[in-house]
Amino acid sequence: MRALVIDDSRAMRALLARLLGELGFTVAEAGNGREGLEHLQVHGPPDIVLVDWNMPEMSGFEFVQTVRALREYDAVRLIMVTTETEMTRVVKALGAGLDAYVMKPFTKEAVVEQLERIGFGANA
Amino acid sequence: MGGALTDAVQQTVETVWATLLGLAVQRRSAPVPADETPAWAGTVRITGAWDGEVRVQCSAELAHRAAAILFAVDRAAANAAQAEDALRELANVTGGNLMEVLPGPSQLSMPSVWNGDGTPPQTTGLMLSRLYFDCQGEPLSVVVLRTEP
Repeated sequence: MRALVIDDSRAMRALLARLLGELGFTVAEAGNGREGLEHLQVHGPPDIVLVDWNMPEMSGFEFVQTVRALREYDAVRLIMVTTETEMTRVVKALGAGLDAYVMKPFTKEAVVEQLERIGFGANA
Repeated sequence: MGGALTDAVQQTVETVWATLLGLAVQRRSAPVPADETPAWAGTVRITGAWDGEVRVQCSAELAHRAAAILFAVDRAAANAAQAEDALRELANVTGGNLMEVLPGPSQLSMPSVWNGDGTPPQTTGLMLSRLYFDCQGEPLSVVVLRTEP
């Protein structure tokens, strides 16, 4: 299974990449939504993308909107990992095609729970 | 908002440091001399229904320890850029979570960091909360400032 982690924080990318690696994912990283899109174009769609909301150049929300407008990425599952706690924003992102979200600070269990909810359980 | 904000800051700081770093923080009722020396600071601005900023200040040593944990490297291997990145993200998560108890809707800025070089960030606005903590013997404080209209 392949995962892409998009976050402008290298620390957060490192943390998420390590967590996903422990779960058996091969993990790539990007520093913002634009770099994430470039990665998809160059390397093809991963199984899952974990994306931050608040990033320079292209936000996580813009990334979700863009990816969901491209049919070749229909199968990619999108999880927002965010500090944006306002439910209106979460609802807006879910409406744009987000599959799940995890609030920062997160536990490993919280990430696993969301992965399982969208079909990436231990036995998937 | 005073008491509720103080409680929220304390709870947020404890949760963020425990969850992301596995580190316990203990609140101190008063500053110690180390709190008064220039410390590293991660800051996020909040604009919208509420205008102000949340600043997380700690010693360079604590920022490096946080980086070592997040990047999974030995403390001695954690460099300044990693420490800055770690503190920036800690400010981002702290500020983002505190937005829950502040009037909304508001926007969170990109976090910035001051690493002790040059002019320290200005403390402008009305200080709504300043809490002092101890983490592994190192000073940590969190300031919430409201921008005056």
